[in-house]
Amino acid sequence: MATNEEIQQDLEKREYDAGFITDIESDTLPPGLNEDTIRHISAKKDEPQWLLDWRLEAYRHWLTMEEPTWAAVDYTPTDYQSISYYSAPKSSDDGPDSLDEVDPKLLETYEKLGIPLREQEFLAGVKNIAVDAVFDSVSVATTFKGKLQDAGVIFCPISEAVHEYPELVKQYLGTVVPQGDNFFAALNSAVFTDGSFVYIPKGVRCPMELSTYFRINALNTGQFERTLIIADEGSHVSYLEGCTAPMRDENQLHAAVVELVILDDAEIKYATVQNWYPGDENGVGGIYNFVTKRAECRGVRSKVSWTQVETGSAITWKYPSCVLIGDNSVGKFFSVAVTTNCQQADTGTKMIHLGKNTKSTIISKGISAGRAQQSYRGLVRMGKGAENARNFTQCDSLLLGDKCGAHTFPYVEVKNATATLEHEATTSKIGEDQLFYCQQRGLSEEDAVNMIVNGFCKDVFDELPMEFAVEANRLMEVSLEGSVG
Amino acid sequence: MSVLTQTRQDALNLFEKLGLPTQRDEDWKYTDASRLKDLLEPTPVDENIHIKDMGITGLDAYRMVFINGLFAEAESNLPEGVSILSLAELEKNSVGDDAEGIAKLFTVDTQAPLINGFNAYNAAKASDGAVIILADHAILTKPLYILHISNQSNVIRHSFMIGQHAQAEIIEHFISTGDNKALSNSCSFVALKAEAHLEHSRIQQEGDKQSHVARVQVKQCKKSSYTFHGVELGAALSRTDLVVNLHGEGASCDLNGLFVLGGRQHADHHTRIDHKAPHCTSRELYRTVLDGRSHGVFNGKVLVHEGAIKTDSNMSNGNILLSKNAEIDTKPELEIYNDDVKCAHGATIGQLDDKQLFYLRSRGISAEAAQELLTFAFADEVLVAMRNQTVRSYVEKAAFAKLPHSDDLEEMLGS
Amino acid sequence: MLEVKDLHVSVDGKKILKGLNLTINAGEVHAIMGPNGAGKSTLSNVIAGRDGYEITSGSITYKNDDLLEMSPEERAWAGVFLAFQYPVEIPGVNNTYLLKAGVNAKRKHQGLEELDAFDFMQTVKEKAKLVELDPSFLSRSVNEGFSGGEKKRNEIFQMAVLEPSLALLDETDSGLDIDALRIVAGGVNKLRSPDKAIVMITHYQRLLDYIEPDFVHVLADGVIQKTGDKSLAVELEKHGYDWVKENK
Repeated sequence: MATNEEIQQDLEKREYDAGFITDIESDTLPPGLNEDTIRHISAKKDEPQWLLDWRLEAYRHWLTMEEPTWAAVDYTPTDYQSISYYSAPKSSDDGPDSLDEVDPKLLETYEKLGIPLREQEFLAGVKNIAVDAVFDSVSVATTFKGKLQDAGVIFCPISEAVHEYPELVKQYLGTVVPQGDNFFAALNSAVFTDGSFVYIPKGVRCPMELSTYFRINALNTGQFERTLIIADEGSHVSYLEGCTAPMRDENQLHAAVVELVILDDAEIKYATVQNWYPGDENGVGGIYNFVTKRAECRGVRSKVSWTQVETGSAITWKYPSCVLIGDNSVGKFFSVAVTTNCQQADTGTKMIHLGKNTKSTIISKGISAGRAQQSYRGLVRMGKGAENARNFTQCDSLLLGDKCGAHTFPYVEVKNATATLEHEATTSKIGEDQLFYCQQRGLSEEDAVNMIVNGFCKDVFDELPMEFAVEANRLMEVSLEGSVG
Repeated sequence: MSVLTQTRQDALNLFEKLGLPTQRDEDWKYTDASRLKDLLEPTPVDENIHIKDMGITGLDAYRMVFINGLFAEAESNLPEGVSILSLAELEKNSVGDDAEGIAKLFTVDTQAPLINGFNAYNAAKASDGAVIILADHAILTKPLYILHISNQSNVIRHSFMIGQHAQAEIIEHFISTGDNKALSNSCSFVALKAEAHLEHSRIQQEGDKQSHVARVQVKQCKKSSYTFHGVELGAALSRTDLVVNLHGEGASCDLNGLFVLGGRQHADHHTRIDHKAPHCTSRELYRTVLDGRSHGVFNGKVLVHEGAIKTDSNMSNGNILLSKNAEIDTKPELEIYNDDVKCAHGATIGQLDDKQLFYLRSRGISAEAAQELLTFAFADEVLVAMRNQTVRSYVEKAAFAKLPHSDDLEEMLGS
Repeated sequence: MLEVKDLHVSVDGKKILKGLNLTINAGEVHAIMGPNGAGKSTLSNVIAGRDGYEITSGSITYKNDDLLEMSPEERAWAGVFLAFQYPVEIPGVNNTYLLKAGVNAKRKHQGLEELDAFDFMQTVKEKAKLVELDPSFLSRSVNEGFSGGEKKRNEIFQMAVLEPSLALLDETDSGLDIDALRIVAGGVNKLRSPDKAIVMITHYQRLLDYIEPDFVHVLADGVIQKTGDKSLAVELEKHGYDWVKENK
């Protein structure tokens, strides 16, 4: 049967099949960051003065901040002056009015990635998904806009929302993640280029899944997208995001901000399959993924869930959080993170209970192989007013190989006597007795490993929408491919 | 300058360099040490300490008494044939061949985890302590009871060296008298040679004006076993750093902690277990019961190093808040650099089990009494591992007395 | 002694008991049988006063008092005892302490002196013998680490010590081997008296071979479908529960 060494060696062979480069002419700003860069980005997008001021305020704040060092990750610091902060396919300068105007090379890119942008391709499908495709710094296509509009749902690039729905943007932008929240959020606030904007009006159940697909293509660029989703009273939306990037030897920076606002009785389900280029087996190249994601359950009985499958990136620094303000609000976090080769991930969540009868659940599954290091870092805080707050946390790590690491740093802070919390964590290697059992029942080693790992992740995969569950499964299989020599 | 003087001077220099920890230090995030700054040095007081009937009476044990950090030989009762010395005595005779060895007792290992200014201060200023050297295969037939009584700030430094196959039980007990604000700064160094066994209890029961800062540092060789019982009942502020190094193959440690706090008490235990060798086992059980405006902090870190295969580690931390102003911060951490391990930890906060409550009520016990009974049982589970029944029942009674309505409870249990 | 009238009970909005009537007099032994999910355990839990059951209508009168107005411990003091189907483990709480606390709370409530420790221990040892309970169980934590059979035996032992007027035995026979069943039944029989009533909830007729009931009720779909004497249980064993529903 496969020893751990064999499995580990096979993991190193893991291939990144989204690693191609699209040869397309781009309009790219020269590297460097100063106030002029920000003015330039703002001007490119023809932004109103208030937004430019907002960006500059963030930038000035950022200058006073230091890059955080508390995460259990080790990397060459980014030279923020060597990055280009804006890159857009030339053809998209004016923004396409319809898919027919989208550069065919772009359509091809997304097709290769399995993301169809042509609406008719969905007709045969059972379920509809509206897609916003973000290529480097700009959104290149958003599908099903019309159908969504009929339902009153706004789904568009945030750059467009700034013009079309300025009041909504102004009312909510930066209210969940303020400009100066942390180093990377401040940077994002200063230079964000695009991202998705979603508004679900009162009482509306969004008629289809919404999805944004992020692609970094250009060399030496950073991607700084910003997503803002507002679920008004009694509304419901399920949102999916996917990410890929070409294989390049340089490290590229991705510093996104996602803000979710959930009002009375509303619900947002947010799922991510993050497959940024992780670097090669020697740790050369790969994306630095420094992301701030936060949801505020402002209304009573509001609900939010973060589901993430993290297989990519060289460095991941990411803690999707829930601030449970409304009484009886519910926050959930489901995560599978796979790190192989030299990948490092420091990820987890924060559950901040402020309202009465608030409930949170955290299920985190980490798989670490090769020389990878992975940490779960979480905070559950129950404030004085969080009467009868409840939390359940389960974080499990699976280790494959004697050079990898798995770490758990859960912070628990409770100031309310009626709160209850249960936290459990385990770390172990893949069970030899489990492997043997499966093999004895006739499974190949590879299938056995796959099956055990999938079983290990099942609680999280079950939370994914069907389409993404399939993709997640595929990604996991790619990760574990060829585990038998 | 003698080696010893130099070593203690180095420690003082280190203290000046480190200063006291602040809440900006991750390891002191929840505990404010700044208010202890003025308490480092003793302010002499007039009142005498009467030690009659103090401590755990009726305990059949060898005995060492330290009054304000100084060994009180007249109150003590030491076994024959075992090397149990006063550090101050040793220090006086620190010339000749032993000089280096004695100086070592005052060395601060800056590479050790959780080192801070208090530890350096301790090495520089310790006035006395117990130095216990148990020869290979020696068995201490009775427990050694070390009673510390103080009414002013004091600095004490113990070393327990247990030889191969040797066995001992040591109970450290801390009490204070008087109403002065003062600080006890205590360090205990434990070295266990191959297959040695030590059961080590630390019962902190100082007055509510007193503060207490402690470091227990343990190094374990092959197949040695160490059992720790840390009980926090007293002091306004107490902080213990418990650092265990599982250095030799097959070593095991079993760490138990109980906090029963009320009023404005604050207690903080940071435990750190380093699994450095294969086949080591660590178990940890910590429970806190917090009433009033008390604040409990628990940080348990297990670090499994590369090569420490077949590590088996389990940590459990349970907490009950009895009042709406009590607060708990807990962080059970795992850091693992090797795949052949079985590690788990769990933490719970909160209410008593509904099923148990109903069961008790259906047997005729009032809701309030049932809650108290279950709270007591919750706390008492930590003490199950304590083999010395005299010590256990002393701690139970003292912990009991701190629970609300302890009279009813006592009546109910008929104890 | 106990009068259950038109009792309707829901759990999480689901109707479990739908107008149940039951009268139990002192000195009687009743057996309640019925298929899974019929509401048998709900009935015993409601009588003992467990949370989480919504009584939508109906009444339970016990010795002329409204039982539903009483807390679980008040019911215990008044002589209601439930032998649990799944007795919970309570680590750290000593078995004997629990009983002593229970007995003394009851005595206090009745305005009696508390039992002195010596007398109490005598009683306890006697009763332990009655159900052949190993004395080592007395000093152990409540049910902790007990096997299924030991837990059930411990329940009957507690019943013996607490001397209830009305004892509800919720599937006390399940999980018991023949020897244990005989011992438990023996214990129960010794507790039979003209001023006490016993209600046994069970799936199987075999318990009734050891403890002979005066009445057998069949509970299905939330109501008592049929009441008879011991022979009803034999019929049931033969024909199954559907037979009862068809021959109401």
